[in-house]
Amino acid sequence: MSFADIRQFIAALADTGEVVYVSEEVDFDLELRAIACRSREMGGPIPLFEKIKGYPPGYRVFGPAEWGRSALAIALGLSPDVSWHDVNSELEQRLAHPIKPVVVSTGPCKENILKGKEVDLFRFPAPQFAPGDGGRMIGTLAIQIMKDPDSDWVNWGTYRMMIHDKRHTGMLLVSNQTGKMWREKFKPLQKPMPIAVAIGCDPCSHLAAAYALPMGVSEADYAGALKQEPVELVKCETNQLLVPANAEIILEGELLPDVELPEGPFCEWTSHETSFDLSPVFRVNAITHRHDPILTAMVVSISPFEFSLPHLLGLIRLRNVLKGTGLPVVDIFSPPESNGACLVVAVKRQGLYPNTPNQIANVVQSVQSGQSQMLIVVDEDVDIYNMTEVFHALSTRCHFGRGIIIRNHDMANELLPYLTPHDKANLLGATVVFNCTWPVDWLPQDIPNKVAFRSLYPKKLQEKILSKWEKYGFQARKERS
Amino acid sequence: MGEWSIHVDKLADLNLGQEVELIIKDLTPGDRKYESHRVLGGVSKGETGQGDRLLVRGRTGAPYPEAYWIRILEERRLVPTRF
Repeated sequence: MSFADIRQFIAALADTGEVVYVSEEVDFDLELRAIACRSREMGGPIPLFEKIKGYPPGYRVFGPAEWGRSALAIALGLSPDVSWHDVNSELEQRLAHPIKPVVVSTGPCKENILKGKEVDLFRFPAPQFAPGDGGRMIGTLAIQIMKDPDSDWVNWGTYRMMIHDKRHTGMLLVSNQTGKMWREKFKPLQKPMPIAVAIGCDPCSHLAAAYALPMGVSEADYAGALKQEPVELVKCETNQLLVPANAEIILEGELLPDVELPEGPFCEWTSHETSFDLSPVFRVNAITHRHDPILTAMVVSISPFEFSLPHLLGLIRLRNVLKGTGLPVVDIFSPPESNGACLVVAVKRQGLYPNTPNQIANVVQSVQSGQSQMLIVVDEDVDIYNMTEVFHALSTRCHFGRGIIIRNHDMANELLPYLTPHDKANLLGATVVFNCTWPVDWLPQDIPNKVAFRSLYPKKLQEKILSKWEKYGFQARKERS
Repeated sequence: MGEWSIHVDKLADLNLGQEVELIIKDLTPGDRKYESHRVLGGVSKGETGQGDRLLVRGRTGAPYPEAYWIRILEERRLVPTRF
């Protein structure tokens, strides 16, 4: 079952208790985000704020819009109880079959059309997330749609947008992103770059927009792959771009080639407040939106129950590339607790050499430069989806004299909070590799047994114990996955 | 009396006592709160001062504890584009 829009998705989440409808009036100025932050940290439901102070009835905010495993599973039409492994497998299978979008004549996003003097970004309850932020954020989970000036390639990206005034926002374009690359193409042309911004789309479209695809490939095809049916697109009012027809809000405009304004600070994916910087300015020429529009707002915080969209989908591509190199990689996972900064890699012993972890790091940095600053390489007996096992392996199997590789000069992600201004300007970073594998020249008889129920005891004994578990007097509990 | 905020790389960027172009945020409660304005103004420091209160924040948003004031001489076009 695929969701036509964010509203159907929210209703499905509510059925499983993943959403709470907040009918109490809240203030867009800090209060809204503070509530969402606390709920997130407690592993609580995602709030849909139905009454925003100073705004008409019906104008709502849904946040956080990055989801835990169960919400992602629901977005894909799976049971909310499936494991990370099953979610990854499903994502991988679907992404192998892209489906081109279809163009329709109109859609719910056209229910209201505003042009000229009617354009006013403040008509939406964009939150002020934190006291120190540079401004109100209208694009924290939005899809920016833009076209290559030299080809038919259309890119969907996810770039943060801070409101400057009623018609202008900033747009943070980070190195290695297609948006930044194309902006650099437009600047010497001294022409504005047409962009459309879709806010509050169906969940698969948001997932696809966060997927780091190779050059020349359109995310809309992969939105269809995840939905398992074509995405419906409709033409903009003021330019030739095509936008999701069921989006809540569409901002049509252009990136100006001759102006930059300070954008930020903002609480970024690292769960730290990052500094402000000069960023391009997006001028809004038209707004279209649904009746009673829902503004989607991503809320980052330190939480064990979130994951990073770009990193989760990027892992699928990275996994395929690593396996294609012939390196003995079994599986990879980025723990949600690390906000994407850590990558755990399970390897098999056959084909493992002393330098294999460093070779894996080379591939990771070439595919995802600026991400996965910490690599933990473990033997395949470690469940990489179980952080207790990963941390146990890190603590007990890594020789801290020989097993740590520090790679200076790997490319940095500009949003890392510990970079100096000089580091940021030159993308100077570093990565570390923890080799938690047993020495390659050890025979099986040299490798210590892991003391755990599943590894230490004969299978028949395990089965007997599990079948009699409640008879022993223990209550049935789900095993962590 | 109005209230504004500004983010600076370093306090020297305020150019205390001089007329300088700054981008400030309106802190007046309401739906325009945090709207950006480009102004020509002069910033002073102290418990009392001329003009409106100015909350000064650093690169990552942390506020400076001292009291600042801004005397707005002229409001300018926020986005001076020729397009």
